Amino acid sequence: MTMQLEDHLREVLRDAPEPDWHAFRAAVEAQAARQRRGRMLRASLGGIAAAAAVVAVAMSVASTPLFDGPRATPAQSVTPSATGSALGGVPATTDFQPRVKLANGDYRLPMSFPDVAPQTGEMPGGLVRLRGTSDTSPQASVASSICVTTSGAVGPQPWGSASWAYRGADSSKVARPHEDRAAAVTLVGWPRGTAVTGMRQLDQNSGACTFDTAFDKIPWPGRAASEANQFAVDERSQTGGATYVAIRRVGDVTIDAWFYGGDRDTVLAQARSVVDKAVAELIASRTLDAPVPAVAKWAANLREPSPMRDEFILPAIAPSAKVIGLTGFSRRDPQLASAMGSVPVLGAQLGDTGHPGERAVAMRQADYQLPMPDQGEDGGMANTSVLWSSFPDGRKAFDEITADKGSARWWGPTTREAWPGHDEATTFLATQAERPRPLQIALRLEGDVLISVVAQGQTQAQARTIATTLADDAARNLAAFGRGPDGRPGNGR
Amino acid sequence: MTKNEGAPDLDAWLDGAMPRIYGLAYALTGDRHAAEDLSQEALATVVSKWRTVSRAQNSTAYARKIVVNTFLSQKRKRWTREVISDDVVTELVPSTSDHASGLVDREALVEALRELPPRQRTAVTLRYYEDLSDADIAALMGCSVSTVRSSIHHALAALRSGAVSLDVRGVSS
Repeated sequence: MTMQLEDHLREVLRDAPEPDWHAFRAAVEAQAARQRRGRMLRASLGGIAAAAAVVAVAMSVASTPLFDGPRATPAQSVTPSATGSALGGVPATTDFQPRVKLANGDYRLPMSFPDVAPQTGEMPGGLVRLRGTSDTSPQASVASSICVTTSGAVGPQPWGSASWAYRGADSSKVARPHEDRAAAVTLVGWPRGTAVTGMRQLDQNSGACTFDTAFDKIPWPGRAASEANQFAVDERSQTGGATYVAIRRVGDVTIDAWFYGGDRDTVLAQARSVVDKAVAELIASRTLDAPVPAVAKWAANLREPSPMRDEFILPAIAPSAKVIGLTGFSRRDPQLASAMGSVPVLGAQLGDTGHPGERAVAMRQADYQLPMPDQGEDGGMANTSVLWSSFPDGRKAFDEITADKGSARWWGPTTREAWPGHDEATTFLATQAERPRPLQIALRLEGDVLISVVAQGQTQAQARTIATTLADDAARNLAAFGRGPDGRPGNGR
Repeated sequence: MTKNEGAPDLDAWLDGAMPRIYGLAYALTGDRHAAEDLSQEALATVVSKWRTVSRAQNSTAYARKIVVNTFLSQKRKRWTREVISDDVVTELVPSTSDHASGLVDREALVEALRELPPRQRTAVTLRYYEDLSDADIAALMGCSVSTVRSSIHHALAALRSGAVSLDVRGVSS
């Protein structure tokens, strides 16, 4: 029987495999909760010098009904001390090592979070601690609640988190935002010395995670805003009421407890009590005195959402277009995580998934354009791509590519050229024939990271200059990020 | 404590929107995991901003727009110079023509769809998965109606051509 192409299309497009809808929905709700909490927390924290302004805001809102009127305006703070200060035995910073993405996809985290969250029976309001909700998986740690939902967020990013959820004893369901009573306790780890900066940014509501609903800041009695804070957030459309949060900083760890529902003063007092107890237990555990790094593995059926994985493994190293010094030469941002895992020399290779080869665990890409006066077939633009890829075995990948084997093959006849001042074992310079424009390939292997540049130019000399300059500059940028404990470039900070 | 009156019910909307948005993401990506990532991110964005979104516009349309924009931004530029080699295409030609013809048809078409440029695939998906009008597709993709028609025309031509060259039985124009 002959079917129309359109019928086949409809059939194919509408035949998605059925996911586990329960897990799917749980993932949506968890992701939404992280986004909401990120926005809330970013808006809530204050600097030491902002205390007076915060008090003024609090006094102002105290005389008006909660959430009435326009969205609250974050306090305008003066930059606080960069290092914070010890307060009542609480450390100012924590000697965390950097988080490292390992070649097998796991993470080495600065430490494992101890379980300092209340057990059932210890939680106010008779809330029941949910079994198995301790978020110690890499997914939860990487997709922490603060500042990580938008890749363009400015400032320090938490390296991980752990949280414990609670629900009302009379509920048979998993805790969800719309339930009458629910709570969670969350620990968030920040890179060494950055928690104070993160708190300042949150207070200023800056960066990509913004607070999009009305809220009140409520100073924590007896504590500066850089050390502790509280806030109430209007979530009537989500929860039927408010969410109340209390948060404290211990070195470069923040601990917060949030509750849905209940009387404001009562619930905030309960939240403070929970946080105080967790802080005391964390300090008593002495895990922050000399944090021990721990490898976090992915649980079965869990994997990391892209493109964050690539962006974490590989920093943004694409050179500025200015290094080329050509009028009109420009870079098209952002520097994307690339899906071209099988084509590491983009623009000079054909993907060949039929052949095995070393596959990158992460890849990022930046594109450049140069207007051409001859208005060629590509619309008058010469294109240049810079890809940088992290391989399990960079040496093997480099050898495969230069020998024209592996997961991709050269587009056309490729001729290697001398690259003065560069080691042939780790660099590769070549031209490629049968192309509409002069084209130059420049590769640099830096550890297990391969930098590939494929540049078009009006002349071969121009293409060569673009390719070699960008490759060398990208390598310098990569080196500036240092090497992580596993020796991989770019993971040092 | 009661929910805010007048606000659409989030639970009901989510139950209804999940299959639709996931299906759209799958139709665009052709990959289950990528579709789950894409659709969950879009749905979570709507859920986290439910109060604003539900009162301002059609929530499902908003989620659909997030999916389309995210898909196109992820695919932008990098697709343009990716070419699958002849070796792979050859593997799709059935070694015999007298069995499993339905499977071969489907695989060949799926493969041909995968080779479409992202904007062509998006236009085709919005027409044949969502059954949207050209004007609605144009509004969603941020282009003119004529561009939509051109994209779909070229996409169908490419799919038709691929089907013939791959000896896909049962597909005709």
